[in-house]
Amino acid sequence: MMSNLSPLQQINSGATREMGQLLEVRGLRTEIPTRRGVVRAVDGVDLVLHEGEVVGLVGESGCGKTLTAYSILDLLPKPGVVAAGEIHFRGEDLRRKSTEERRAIRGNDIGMIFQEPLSALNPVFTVETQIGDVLRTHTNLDSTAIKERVVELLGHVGISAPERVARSYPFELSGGMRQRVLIAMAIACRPALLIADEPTTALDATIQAQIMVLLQTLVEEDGVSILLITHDLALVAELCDRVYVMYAGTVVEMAPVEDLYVRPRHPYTSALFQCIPGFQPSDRPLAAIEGSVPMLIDIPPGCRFADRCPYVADRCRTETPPLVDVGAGHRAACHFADSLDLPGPASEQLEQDHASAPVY
Amino acid sequence: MRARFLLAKLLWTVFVLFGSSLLIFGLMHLVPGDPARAMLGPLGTPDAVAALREKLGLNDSVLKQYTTWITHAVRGDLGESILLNQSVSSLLAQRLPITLALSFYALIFALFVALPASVISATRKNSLLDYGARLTALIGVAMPSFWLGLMLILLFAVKLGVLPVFGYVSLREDPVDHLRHMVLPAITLGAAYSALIYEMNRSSLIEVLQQDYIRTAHASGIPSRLVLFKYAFRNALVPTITVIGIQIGYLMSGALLVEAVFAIPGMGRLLVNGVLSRDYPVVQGAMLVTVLIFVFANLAVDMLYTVIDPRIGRKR
Ligand SMILES: Nc1ncnc2c1ncn2[C@@H]1O[C@H](COP(=O)(O)OP(=O)(O)O)[C@@H](O)[C@H]1O
Ligand code: SF4
Ligand SMILES: [Mg+2]
Repeated sequence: MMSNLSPLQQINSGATREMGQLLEVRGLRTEIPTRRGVVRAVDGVDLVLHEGEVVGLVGESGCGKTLTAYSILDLLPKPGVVAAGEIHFRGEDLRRKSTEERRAIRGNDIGMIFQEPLSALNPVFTVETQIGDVLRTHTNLDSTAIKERVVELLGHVGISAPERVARSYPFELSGGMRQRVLIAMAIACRPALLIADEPTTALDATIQAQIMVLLQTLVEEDGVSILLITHDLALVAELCDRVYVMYAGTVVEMAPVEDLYVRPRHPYTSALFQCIPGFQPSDRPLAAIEGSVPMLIDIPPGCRFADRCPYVADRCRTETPPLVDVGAGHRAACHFADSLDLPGPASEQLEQDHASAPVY
Repeated sequence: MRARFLLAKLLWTVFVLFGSSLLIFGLMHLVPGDPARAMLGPLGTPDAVAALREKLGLNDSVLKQYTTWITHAVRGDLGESILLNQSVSSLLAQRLPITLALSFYALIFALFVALPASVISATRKNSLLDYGARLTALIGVAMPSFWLGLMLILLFAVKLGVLPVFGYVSLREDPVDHLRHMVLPAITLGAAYSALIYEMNRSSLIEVLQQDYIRTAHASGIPSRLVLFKYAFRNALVPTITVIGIQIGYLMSGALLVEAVFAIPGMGRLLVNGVLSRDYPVVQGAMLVTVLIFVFANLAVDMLYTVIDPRIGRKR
């Protein structure tokens, strides 16, 4: 495990330092040329994920979470490209690898699950065929072994009639069942990292909770690391060790999940908390953040959140706030990160209402 | 579920066949004047006309005529040709295989060109190659088949002399010569068909390639070739098969013209000559068989659907 460490690992500080670095993204910039100009959907993102760690990537829709994941996996839809940055996985820069080498990593070392379990499975092939093809691609198992492994995997993700489900077509399964099938497919080759992009957004509440429990089990029992992409901070509390908060293509805050809940340092993070039902102070109505994410073409200097920030000052419109340390393993990109006293769901004034860390 | 779906299709087929038989039968009675007189022409003596009327059963009620005709037809008896002094069914037995062979070769040619071209186009959307293929397809659809046939004859048969100009040799007689005679007619008949299949499969493949499940396959590291030819192609084929099925009717009617251009003694020729000489039993028989083929081809397509797409005909 130690031999897999990246040379850049030393730079990383914080409590998790002794763990091996699995994924390390530095200065990632992802661009999409469009008729109206080049969209910088991801603009200088740094992200580290250690072995066995569950890291959240949070932000409103459109802030670049999915494209960050696609950049890591070399799955960007045309004409999107990674314009700059390094993506180290187990110490190797994926951007230096060939398309073929990166394909071989997908589904084998890094698995991914998606938001829409309804459309993410091929409608004309059985579950067995689809999971089987992943195994056929990455392993030398013969067809009997593959059949057995598929059933075993389906059982592993909590499907009670794995033989029957294996022979089913996706349209014969419920949404929660399909997401389990997709998870089984993603972990079929025991990947070290699972990227889960809004895995429960399309599911109803009970099923959501079940899928979260399943992901938790995978972490605890199989030692999978997870990059959990979500717009929902409530999910993050349940599962994640650390959280990255993204806004308009950049990371605006990074912190261990407890720190973030006790004292968020970026006004955007705080605003995100206000959007969670039950988290905002009871005398205030449920808030939605005013305004919307700015267009990511020809971005002017200054804080990208300035137009929507309640604490905005003149300086914010001219000077881009850098992402700086504001505590142990806690970084924020706000000029006033140190001085602002932003409420978090677990901060003291809310303690009566929410005695414990939020439970999903 | 699927049995019920297929049963419904089968009932529909029977219904269509019944309707068509009414139409085909009615046609003879829609022609103004006395069919017997029309068949015999100006030279027919009153006696001959009366004899023919008797032979065709034209003195019976229309309902009786229809039931007689259809009950005979079901048993394979389509009456006698007025001109050729042969039973219609034996005429069809000679001519139909030729037309079927021609249509079959045209279909093979069309698929052979259209499917690979559609894959190339869809995976290189808006490239020069794609534009070239689309333009060719457009011309293929727009060009009248008799003109294309003549051009092909001029080029390959007359100028280059590598293929026969026209005529027909049966497969049993000489397989190689049979094929040599069929190449140009098959291309002529299949060109427009091919263009339609190409266009449909191209657009459906482009659509399928944007679907979430294709992204899932890529995210699982499935090699691009497998994603394209297994995961995408099968889904894209569903709408394409509809076009293939519907256009089988076109193929049958197109064969009429192509047989004329290449002097192939198929059913098209039989039908055309039948119409020109007002040989109504032949016309009716040929049309009935054409409808039969069309309807069963579509039934086959429906069954093919249920094989390709498991969702069809099943409860969601
Ligand atoms: N094909 C595309 N063309 C142009 N812009 C795109 C395209 N795909 C995504 N974007 C832009 O990139 C940004 C990030 O998208 P995405 O990563 O999907 O956001 P998230 O997953 O956080 O909701 C969005 O603001 C969107 O406008
Ligand atoms: S830098 Fe200024 S505008 Fe940006 S978040 Fe901080 S206070 Fe708000
Ligand atoms: Mg997204």
